[in-house]
Amino acid sequence: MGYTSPSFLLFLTGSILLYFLFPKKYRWTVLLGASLFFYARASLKGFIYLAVTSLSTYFAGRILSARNQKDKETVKAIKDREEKKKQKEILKKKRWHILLACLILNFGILIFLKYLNFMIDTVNALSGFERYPMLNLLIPLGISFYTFQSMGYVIDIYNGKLEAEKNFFKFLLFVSFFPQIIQGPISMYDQLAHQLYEPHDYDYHNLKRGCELMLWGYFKKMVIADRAVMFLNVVTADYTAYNGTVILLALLVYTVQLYADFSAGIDISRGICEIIGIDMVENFRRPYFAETINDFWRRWHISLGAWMKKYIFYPFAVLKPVMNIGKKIKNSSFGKTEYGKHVAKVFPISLSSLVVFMVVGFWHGANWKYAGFGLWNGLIIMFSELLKPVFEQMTQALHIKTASFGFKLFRIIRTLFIVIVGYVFDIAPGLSSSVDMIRRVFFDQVWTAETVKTIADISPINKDGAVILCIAVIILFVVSLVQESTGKQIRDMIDEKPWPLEWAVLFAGMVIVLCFGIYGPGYDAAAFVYMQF
Amino acid sequence: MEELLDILRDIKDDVDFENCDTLIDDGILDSFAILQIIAALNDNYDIAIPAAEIVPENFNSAASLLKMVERLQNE
Amino acid sequence: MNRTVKRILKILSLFAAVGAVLLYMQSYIMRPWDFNHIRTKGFYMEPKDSIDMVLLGQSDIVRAYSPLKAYENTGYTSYVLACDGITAAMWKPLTESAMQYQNPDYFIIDVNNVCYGEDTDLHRPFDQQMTDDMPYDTHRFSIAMDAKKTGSDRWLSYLLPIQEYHVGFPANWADVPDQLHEIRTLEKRGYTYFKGDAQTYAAEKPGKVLNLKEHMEKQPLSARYEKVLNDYLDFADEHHLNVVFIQTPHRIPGESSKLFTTFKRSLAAQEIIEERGYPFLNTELLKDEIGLDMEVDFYNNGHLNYPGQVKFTDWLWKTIEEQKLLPLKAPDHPEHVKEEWDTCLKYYHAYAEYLPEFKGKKNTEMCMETTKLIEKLEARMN
Repeated sequence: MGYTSPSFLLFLTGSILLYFLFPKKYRWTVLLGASLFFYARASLKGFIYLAVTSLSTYFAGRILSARNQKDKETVKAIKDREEKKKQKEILKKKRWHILLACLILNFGILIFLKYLNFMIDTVNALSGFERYPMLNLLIPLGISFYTFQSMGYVIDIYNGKLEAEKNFFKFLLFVSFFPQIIQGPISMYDQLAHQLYEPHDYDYHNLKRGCELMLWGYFKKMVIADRAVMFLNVVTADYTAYNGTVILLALLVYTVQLYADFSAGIDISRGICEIIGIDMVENFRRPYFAETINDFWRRWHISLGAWMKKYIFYPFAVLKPVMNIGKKIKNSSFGKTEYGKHVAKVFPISLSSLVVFMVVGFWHGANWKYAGFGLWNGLIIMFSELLKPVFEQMTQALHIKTASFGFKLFRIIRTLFIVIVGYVFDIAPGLSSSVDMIRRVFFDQVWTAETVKTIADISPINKDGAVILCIAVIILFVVSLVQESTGKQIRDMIDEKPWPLEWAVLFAGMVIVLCFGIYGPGYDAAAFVYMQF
Repeated sequence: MEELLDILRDIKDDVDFENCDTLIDDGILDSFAILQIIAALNDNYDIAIPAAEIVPENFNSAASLLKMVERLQNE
Repeated sequence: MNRTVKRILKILSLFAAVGAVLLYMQSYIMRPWDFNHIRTKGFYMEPKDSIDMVLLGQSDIVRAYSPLKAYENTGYTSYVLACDGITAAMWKPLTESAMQYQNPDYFIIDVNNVCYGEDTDLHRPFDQQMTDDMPYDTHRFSIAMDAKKTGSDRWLSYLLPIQEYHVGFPANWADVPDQLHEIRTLEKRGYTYFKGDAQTYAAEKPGKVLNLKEHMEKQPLSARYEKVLNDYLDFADEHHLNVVFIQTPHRIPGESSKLFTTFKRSLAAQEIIEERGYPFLNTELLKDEIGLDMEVDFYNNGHLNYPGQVKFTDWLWKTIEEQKLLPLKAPDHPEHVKEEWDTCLKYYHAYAEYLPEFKGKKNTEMCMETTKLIEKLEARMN
């Protein structure tokens, strides 16, 4: 049930109605029922994996929670200091093993289903022949999301930050909650869970604001993203047939399409939650206005970044060996210099960033090109940090006013450039083709009428459709600009206006989405050429 | 406390560590600063701050940092 | 007024406004428009019970038959309730619809589309386009349901065409004002001048043409359409329909041509139909009798042009009368119907004068040209 299908809207209306009609104490069960129904419709066979992850994590959580309590009491009861320390270590190790087992099982399932064929393919490629056959594996819906979300839960319990949820079905709701199962956001248990279980009252303003957010999401997805992707698909089907200019255009289109599509899905999810009365974390904060690549990753797929920071970046960065690298540099002769001191501070941390980006890269997909993606982002961050003092000297020497609008614009464009090159790894079929694509974009630019004609010929979007796309993108840009500069939400701004104006905006939005959106079986232009009159 | 404040000022000299209690909430300390603080505290107090301790409750103020350090020293 | 009631009213009025705009958009602006749409829309505009004969089929029968020529010759009113590319699955619902609105005494059915292969999906957009102009009644609903039953994922667009058209919209902003003008003109007038006739004078040169008398092989109908044919024959029996089945004439270039497959299947259809006691005229084999000239009377291999249409229409009625294929009663229409058809006949003759001028024009251009011409003729006649 895609978000733009009529059956989904029917399902959603029914679920929300049922939620508010149910007695308060059991409202969360409606959410659970809806989520399980949604999952079964989308991926019945995949459900077994969801069940295994939910059960194993639930039990691991309960055992760890119980042991946390019991072990504390056991250790407290011991009088001898040495014995106390020893017992503490032993018990901690036992708890660690339980956690490890849960992590290995669930990440193992994820790796097996998502990456096994990739690993087999790599081994085959290295062997030079088809040494191992690929397996026909089903990838359950949302496995990357719900696995990460549940593992965060069990790690937090291990760290003593959470108490395990006693009710298995409540926990199952946390794992399978339908507005976030398709594409996130990845929520933290302490932020989301209680909101799922507490009953929420119907509120007209929540309903209105939620619907408005959903409408905005549908506008982005149906008018912008699904239209733009038509052009993109043509070029990515065989990029070698096109020169660097066409590929560059496709990249720019992708830049718009990916953001519109992804943020639209998140807006629809957040809108649904808002109607129910749940506050779901933001996943995007106008990422293309970022001035540095670090800032970009704090604005793009925020929940993934937050998860990585909490569970991979910091744990890796505080590891003794990693911190010792910094120490070693500091204690070396290089480390005595001004610059050396900076490197000693910065290098271990940038190394951690690199590791995180490799993980983020592969999280996106099982393909070596994502290694390229990870390296591109990670190395740029690493070098930008290492070379920070150099850049600071340069801007001083050139008398650049760093607070000026011009410099800010420069930084935004520079960041966009880095991001767009990174996008090549998304749209190219593999690692070598990514490199080839980049080469074409840089060295094969052909700005002639011939190229314009090629673009017009291959584009499934006609001239008027392209006009619609451009106008819609301008609307998106203006809205983002207002949000970025005022920090206000558009919904709040139109809410303050008299209701006829507000209604006019909603009316226009609905008509635009229904008239210009891409949905349904579609007008098959080719079929109408049939008779050849 | 003075010792801790010295260490903090050594890492970031433009922050009022004595009085500020929203170091994380207001984004005054970024991940670089946090990790440098951890390295310095680990060295100075002979502790090993685990990642799980990197939460606003501990890092929002110098006072809460000191509390965390003392707790870890006693474990 | 209570706040909740106020809010509910506000929300309902929002949805009503959106619905009204979409209804207007799908009826006038976002829709394709050509002779097919004029034809279907025009049928439902005709005065009730004024049509004596309804013809079903596809583009072949549209171009082979002229209702106004028939009226001129015989005084009978007839209408071709068919559009380009539609499937034989439309026969029954269109017959029922015609019976409800016009109660015609006679039917002619061109079996060309029941001789097609199972590639129904290719034709669904055409069926759906025809239903765009049908009233929202049980017949339109049953067509949508039948589409759903036979595996169509676009069945909803038979009832809500906007679902079909928004993707390709705008096909061309520039065309919209003209289109709007054409639809409005038709609605204001209240009937079509040419009864949905769509004709050109153009004649593509023939290539090789098979002598069918030397290639009389039969090929069975596809499973789906054999069932459709048999169901329709049962339906005709049940309702005691006076119907003549025909196969329209084509220029068949060779044995590998699709038209040849259709011809072979038409022989199988003929067998089934004649066995059930209905008359069948296979005009593929009667081209000499009709007097069709391969060089002059065909628009292309698949369709006749204006001269061919005249010959075919003349011959069809003559044959029906001579061979008593239908129980013809003398035509008897009220004054207002006769007046309308006589007016249309005047325009038909005037239009025929201009047809040779349009010789090079494609069908897609003809619709707008015809509208422009009508305005000229109206000015001339009044």
